[in-house]
Amino acid sequence: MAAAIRSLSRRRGLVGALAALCLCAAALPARADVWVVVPLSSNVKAMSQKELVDLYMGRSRAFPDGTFALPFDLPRDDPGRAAFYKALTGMDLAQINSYWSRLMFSGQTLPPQPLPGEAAMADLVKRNPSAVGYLLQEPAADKGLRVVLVLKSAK
Amino acid sequence: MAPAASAQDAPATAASDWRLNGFGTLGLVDVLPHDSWGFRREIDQTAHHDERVRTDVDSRLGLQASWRPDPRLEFVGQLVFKPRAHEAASDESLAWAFAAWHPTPEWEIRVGRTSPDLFLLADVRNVGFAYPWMRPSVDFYGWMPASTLDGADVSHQWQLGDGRLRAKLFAGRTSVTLGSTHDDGDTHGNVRPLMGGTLAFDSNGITIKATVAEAKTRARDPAAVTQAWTGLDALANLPIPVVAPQAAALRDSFPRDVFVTRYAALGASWDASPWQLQAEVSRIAGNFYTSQSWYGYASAARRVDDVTLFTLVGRAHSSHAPLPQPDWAATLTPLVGPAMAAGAQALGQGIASDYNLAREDQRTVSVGARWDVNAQIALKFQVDAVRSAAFGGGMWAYDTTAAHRATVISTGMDFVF
Repeated sequence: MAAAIRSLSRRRGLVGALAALCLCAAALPARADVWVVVPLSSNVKAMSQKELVDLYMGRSRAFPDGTFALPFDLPRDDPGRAAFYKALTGMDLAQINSYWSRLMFSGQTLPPQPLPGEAAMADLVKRNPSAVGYLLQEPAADKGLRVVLVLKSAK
Repeated sequence: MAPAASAQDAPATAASDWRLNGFGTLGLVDVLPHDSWGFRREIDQTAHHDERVRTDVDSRLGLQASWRPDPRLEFVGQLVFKPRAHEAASDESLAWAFAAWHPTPEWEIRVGRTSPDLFLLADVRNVGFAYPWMRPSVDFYGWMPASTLDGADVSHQWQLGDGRLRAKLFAGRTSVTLGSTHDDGDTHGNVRPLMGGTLAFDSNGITIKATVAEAKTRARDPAAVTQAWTGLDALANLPIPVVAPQAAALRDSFPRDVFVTRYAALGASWDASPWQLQAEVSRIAGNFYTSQSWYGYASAARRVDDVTLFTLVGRAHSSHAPLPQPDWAATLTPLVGPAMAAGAQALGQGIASDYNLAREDQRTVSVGARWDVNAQIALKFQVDAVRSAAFGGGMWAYDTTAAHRATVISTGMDFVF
């Protein structure tokens, strides 16, 4: 009997802990995966997902204010690039590459310039007033970057 | 202070944006039955008989170099290596060589070698990785002779609600060598000028594109064309029953000097993942019979994980009925002598055969699958059931005027890098 009570008590404790964990998780903001950044010198203060899709899918060459935009990308097979496009468009890399091969090899436009990695991305975006890029970690406040959109992880 | 000053002085672009990319297809095609007819996906291909498995139909390699020194300026060069007509000039491998300038983000001006932007897939026919099928609809795209344009184009785009409207005007000239289909020598076409315009609207995965264009072509030996036209005109004016109306029909099937072709096309695609739907219809008109046709296709594809299943139906139909094969020798010999009668007979037969063998009346039903092995390689498999009516096998090499059925089994690997 005592063992049964101890067992029930342990289960109640476990259930209670799980319930508390769930409540805490629900209270937290949804996990944000990709931070879209521009330099502090940019006039762009915020961007919508559609505006970003237009830039990264070659449909527009300009920010919403009409100035030329210079989007940067990660290497073609980089997992961070896959996460970015999945969150942005819902498409996987094969679909994105197929899409871009249609535009690039038909002479319509070039895809965003690939950079070696996130460090190079942060560095170049910081120094270029026309730039826009993305990072898989939230940039520190002293990095000279402004977050204009946070893309949530794709389910 | 120094880093801040450096940031202020940074140029408007990143480090020089040089890129070298490429694409290619390794394809195998088996056409059943194994006979003397020769399957072609484009009319600038070399002619082969379908007596064994072939690698020349879909295989190709493309290399592209591009340089963007500034967001306003791009330079692009692209070479496409594939089996072409025996007499094709070496510069026909140069698909792109242009400079593009964007005075504002909405305007684009391109000068150099580009492509006549006639249809939805006109510019990416060689890039297998860009579409689900082994090849774009042969019934629709196979006949298209012009793949490059030496000239200029200007385009502008407007934001319309959630969508974008893009207008484009292009003009220039092109030359292409069409492969021999009956071992009678390649055909050299010099198109000058080719001009037209497109209007395209896209919104939420839907693209609608309309095109009109006109091309003027001179044969490599215009004197021979004029001579043939004049000879048939003379026969058409003779008061001889049967011969005169037949000669008039043959004379009216081609112009005496400049060949004019007019294009009008409407296409739409809908990319609603996991579905991809696409259809196009085009009306080609002009002052010679082989240019007067309807073409169309429709495709549905559905993606399931890394596999895309698709079906494609195509139709090509020449507007004019087959030309009558003249039998004039017996009638003309007593009037003009055996030599001239034989000459007239040969001329009439040649003109009729040229049109009848080039005439298209064909439909194709295709099914297949594409498997994206990774982000840069796709494997494909496709089966086409092709049915050409009598006097309708113009896309084939070594065709006859007989009706023909074939099953085309294709597999291949597309890649980009």
